[in-house]
Amino acid sequence: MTFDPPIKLLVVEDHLALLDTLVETLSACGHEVIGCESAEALESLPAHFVADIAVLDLNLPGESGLSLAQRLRRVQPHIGIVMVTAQHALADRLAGYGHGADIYLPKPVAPQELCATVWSLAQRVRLNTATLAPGFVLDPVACVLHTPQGELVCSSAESALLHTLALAPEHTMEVFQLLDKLGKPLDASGKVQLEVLISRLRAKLVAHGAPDTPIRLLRGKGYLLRLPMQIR
Amino acid sequence: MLSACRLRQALARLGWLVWVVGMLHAMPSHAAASNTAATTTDPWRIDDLAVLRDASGQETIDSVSQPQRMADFTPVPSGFSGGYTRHSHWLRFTLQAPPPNADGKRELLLEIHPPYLDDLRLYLSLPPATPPGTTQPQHTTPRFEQRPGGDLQPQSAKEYPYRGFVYRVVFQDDQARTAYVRLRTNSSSVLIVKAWEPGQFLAKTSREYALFGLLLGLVLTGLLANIWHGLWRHEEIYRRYIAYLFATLFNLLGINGLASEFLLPEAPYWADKWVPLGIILVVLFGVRFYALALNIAQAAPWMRWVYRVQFWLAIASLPAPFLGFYPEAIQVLLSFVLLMMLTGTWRSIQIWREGNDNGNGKILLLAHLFGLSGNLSAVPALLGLLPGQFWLIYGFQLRSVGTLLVLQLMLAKHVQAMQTKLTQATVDIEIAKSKAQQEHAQREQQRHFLSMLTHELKTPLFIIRLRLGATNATPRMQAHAERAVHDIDAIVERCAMVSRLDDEADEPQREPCQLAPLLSDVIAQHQGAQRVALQMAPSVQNAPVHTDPLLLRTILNNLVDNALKYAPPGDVVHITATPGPHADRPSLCIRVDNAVSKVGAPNPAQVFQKYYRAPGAHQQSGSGLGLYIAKALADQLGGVLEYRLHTNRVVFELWLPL
Repeated sequence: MTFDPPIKLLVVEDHLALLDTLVETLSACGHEVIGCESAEALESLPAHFVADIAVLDLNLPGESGLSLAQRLRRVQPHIGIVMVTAQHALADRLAGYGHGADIYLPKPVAPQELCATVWSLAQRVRLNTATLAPGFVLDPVACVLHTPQGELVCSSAESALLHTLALAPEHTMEVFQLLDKLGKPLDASGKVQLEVLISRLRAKLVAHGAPDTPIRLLRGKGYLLRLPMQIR
Repeated sequence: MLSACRLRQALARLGWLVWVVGMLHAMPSHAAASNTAATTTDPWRIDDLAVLRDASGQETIDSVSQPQRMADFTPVPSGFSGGYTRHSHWLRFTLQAPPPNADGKRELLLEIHPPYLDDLRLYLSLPPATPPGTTQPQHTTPRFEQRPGGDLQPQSAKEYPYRGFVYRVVFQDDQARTAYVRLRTNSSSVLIVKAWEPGQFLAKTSREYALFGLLLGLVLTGLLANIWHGLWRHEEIYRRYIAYLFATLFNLLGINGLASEFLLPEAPYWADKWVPLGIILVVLFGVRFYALALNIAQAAPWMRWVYRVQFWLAIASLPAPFLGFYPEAIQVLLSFVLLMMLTGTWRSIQIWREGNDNGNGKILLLAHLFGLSGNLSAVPALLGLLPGQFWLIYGFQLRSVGTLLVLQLMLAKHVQAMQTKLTQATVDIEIAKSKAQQEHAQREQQRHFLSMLTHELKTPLFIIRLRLGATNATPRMQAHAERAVHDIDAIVERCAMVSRLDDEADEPQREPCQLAPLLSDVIAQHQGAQRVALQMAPSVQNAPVHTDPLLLRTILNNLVDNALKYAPPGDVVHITATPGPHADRPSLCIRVDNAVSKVGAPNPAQVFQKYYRAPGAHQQSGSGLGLYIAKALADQLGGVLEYRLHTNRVVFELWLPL
């Protein structure tokens, strides 16, 4: 019972030994697994990696698991979210579901159940992502943006930029973060390159039915993506 | 503290009142004493006051001044007191001609009291008329000049501005003048007369008004104090006492003529009614107060009847001054007051003998005896034991003030008792509050503990479960699982340790121990022992430390465990042992330090708190108890455990006294 291509799994857990063990356990089921120790560490994920399912701990340092789940669900409506946590009071579970969890598993869950849950969710996720949602949907692997007015083929830098902004909290990223992400120099020349990249991308987006200024420069904050966008 | 203060205030007030009453008392008695000491030729002395009762009301100055009527007058040298009557009275006395003053004039001031007399007519004999052309006066019927008085006339009509009645009497020669006073009043028929040298009278008046100001001021202070402490809001007895005080103040203003002189100078009708109303109000509110103070509701039926009848009599008497039956009403009312006072005296003794009254029985008895002494005040005056003229007027007032003082004492005691209760209640509330806080803190601790356990035990259990479910576990996973078992064991061990620490069950068992093997042993027990660099000063290496080796081992174990766990992976943990003074004592310092991990350093304010986990500490299992335990054990050994951040290194220093 394996999937082709393999299911992409994102595991976020702050306990390093547990993270390691979870990654190993889920990899053993035949999935492609990436582990992160915090919500902030997601920014260093490879640009092409779009998780089918996220396995989240709730007690994370910095941004909480609940907030992360909400953010992921907004950008990827079809993602499967499994919450694994030691808190299993009714209020905690309801909060989990309220923030976008598909299933809420109490620690210590049996590995067989965890794998079965992931498998079951994966079937549904694959089914849903096969049909394209209306609006703007980015396929970061193929570097294609599906728009209401047809497909827009992007450069890998444009695709990475859109991916990063769509995933970011408040859809906002600081200039230096973007430069870092895109591998551009952290100086004035990098900034100019970024501006050129963004103004070209703006024109393309508007030509494909996006409203005016889909990416906006916020003084002192960075760039804001104003376009509702999903990722598959 | 507060109640003691209030009692002192009450006593101080009592002292003042006693002094004022004493002064009022001393003033006329002094005058009386000087009178007696003086010779019979003292021109200011009036010693032949005599009274004639005008039963028919038909007498005139001409009829009473007939020489043959002399024998009809009854001598009343100490002053006249005729009780409540509708009859008129004629009083006769002789005014001796005073010596001439600096201007060669012979004149005196005649003072007549009390101020509440309704209708007063003074007749002064004139020298016999000398017909023109003759030098010898003819022996004819005596002639009189008439001067009006009484409180039915406005203040402005008075000859001399004073609360009582004062007349200037001028003498042509050294011949004495005879004075007649016709007296008609609805109030108690009382009269005292006194002749004054004008200058002396002025001085006396100033003294007198100052004393009245003090007396009324003190009664008012008492009144305000009772209103101020606010007990009247909850306790009926204080409301009734305040009403009683008000009535007394009202009455004192009336009978001393202060109301008519200062408050209603041009309204003689109301000034005249003020006095009878004042007396009725005192009786009315007195009954209400005593009935409650004596707990008459629980007394014998006949006592209840006395107070009930007295109350309704007072109510019924209220319109009497306006409807013209005041003399009759007040006689009945005051007779009943005597009965009520006797009943009250009996009841006070009962309460006293019952014994569970907080000493109120004695005080109430004293108050009643004061009251009765006022009723019987004429007796000592008549017996000559007290200055008669003074006592006739001020006896009633002194009685009132004395009674109020005694009652104030009782109520002050009650206030004190209330204060004590209040203080006790406040203390009880505080104790209950702190108990509740303690319990709340305990519950909070327990909640904290359980939350720590669930979170910290479930994670290693999860790892173990994952390992158990894996068919082909990698050595890495196996190591994680083994570490998880160790973590669970450490957490449980530390919980048990904390429990023992909190119960203070262990006493340190001190013995000489060698530090070098102990430290090496502690380090060797840890995974990653190769990351530890140990440095010991030679003096430390050779000299044994006198301490509890088991406790010291636990402290060092926790410190090393902590450092290895949270230092950046692969970083070296330094342990050094050196001698050195700490807080002026020769000590041994064991220092464990490591680089700050990338997620940050512990907060110095919280690092030794129970269940505290530093930023990023959740990346590994832990109870948050290790450093708490180490600190508590260091204290037990008489040492100190300190944490500081030094050039980006987390430094723990254990100082043990040598």
